Amino acid sequence: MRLQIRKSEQEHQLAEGCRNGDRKSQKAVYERYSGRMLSICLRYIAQRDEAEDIMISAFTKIFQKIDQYKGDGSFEGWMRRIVVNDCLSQLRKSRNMYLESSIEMLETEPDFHLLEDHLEVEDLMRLISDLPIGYRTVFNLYAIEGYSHKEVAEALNIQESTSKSQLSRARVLLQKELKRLEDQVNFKTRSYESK
Amino acid sequence: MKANKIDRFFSKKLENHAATPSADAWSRLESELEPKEKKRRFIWWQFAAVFLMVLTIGGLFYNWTVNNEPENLQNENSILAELPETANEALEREEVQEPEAVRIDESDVLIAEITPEPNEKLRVEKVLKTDANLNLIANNTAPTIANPVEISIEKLAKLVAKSELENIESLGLVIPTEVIKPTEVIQVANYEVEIYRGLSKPDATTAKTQEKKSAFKKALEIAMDVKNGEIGLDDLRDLKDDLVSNIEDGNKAEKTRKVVN
Repeated sequence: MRLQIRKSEQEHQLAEGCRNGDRKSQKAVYERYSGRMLSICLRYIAQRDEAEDIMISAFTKIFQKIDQYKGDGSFEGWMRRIVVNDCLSQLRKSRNMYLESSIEMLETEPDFHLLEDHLEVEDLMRLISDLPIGYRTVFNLYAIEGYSHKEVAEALNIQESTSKSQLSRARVLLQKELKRLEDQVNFKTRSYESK
Repeated sequence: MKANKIDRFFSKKLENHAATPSADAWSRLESELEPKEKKRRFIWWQFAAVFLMVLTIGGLFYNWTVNNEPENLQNENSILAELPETANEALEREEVQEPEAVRIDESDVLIAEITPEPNEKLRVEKVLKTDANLNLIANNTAPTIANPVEISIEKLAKLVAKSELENIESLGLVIPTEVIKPTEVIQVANYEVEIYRGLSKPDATTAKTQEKKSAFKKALEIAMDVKNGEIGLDDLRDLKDDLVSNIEDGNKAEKTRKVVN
């Protein structure tokens, strides 16, 4: 609890420095949050260069529109929303997002405990990047950013039902991939054991 | 809402994941922050440039209107000149003095704006001086004298007698303004302005100036006749009446000038 309060105090101090256009505060904010923001961009936009460009332009927006941050919510949450919105508008600009395809549900569930022990974050990032763009976007917004279907529908200008169907298809694809990875892990451990 | 296991699995691992930006990312961000400030400064420069441009155009337009004003002034002059129809001679004198002052200002502007050939400039200045002198004379004499025309003739005679004709001619057509009564001084001033303007557009106005020069000589002859007593007061009055009637018919300032001549 105390830790959290101290964290938000620091956030507010940094935000205040940025509000005054102080370059040191801006750099501190960048150093602290750029990695997380870039990670968000990479989940939406697979190409690294493109994702980084979005991250940089999002930071310029953050520093220029710092006055719009009222200080009542978390500074990081405010920045995340800006980054996510920039990613979405980039996706809208450049791609045809939604593809419908029928995917049969899988019966078996992957072993999450095993996967959690053996999979790196980078592996999960890759799984998300490999998703078709519409699935990926809805999955990111709903499952990781925590938007509701209504919010997703508004953000992407689609029907709520579309959001739901894209999400369930994304889950199916991810589940399939996780299953495949699980098999690989099992195979590796088994061959290790046999040695 | 029941959280999906896959959702949870991913969000737990990815929520606070941080990727490493490339080394030059901050400097790129910094350079994107800088140009915004420079751009803002640039916008101020643009404002300044536009303001200066407006000033320049305004100035040019003002000059243009000032250069074209003699026409307007002549029109005003002709309007004023229509007054003598009902007015007495004292009123006529006033009419003579006022436009004169205006015209001096105008000539000043002309001198300031365009740099003419040295001789011409000198002439214009001389005319200004003589005009000013005449103004002084007129102002001093006006209140006490009943018949200005008579006084003018006296003065004419004196002045012409004093000055040597050869000198007058060697100085050009300008100096004799002193020997002509105030009504004609306006025209002299006009004449000088016309000559002056003629410099910039020689083709269109050379004939006009020639005509004026000869007309001016005629005026000089009349003045000499007055001096020698060949033309009396009555004749002068007739000339003046002609002038007034011609103004009434008249095609503005152009005609008034001819009649005076």
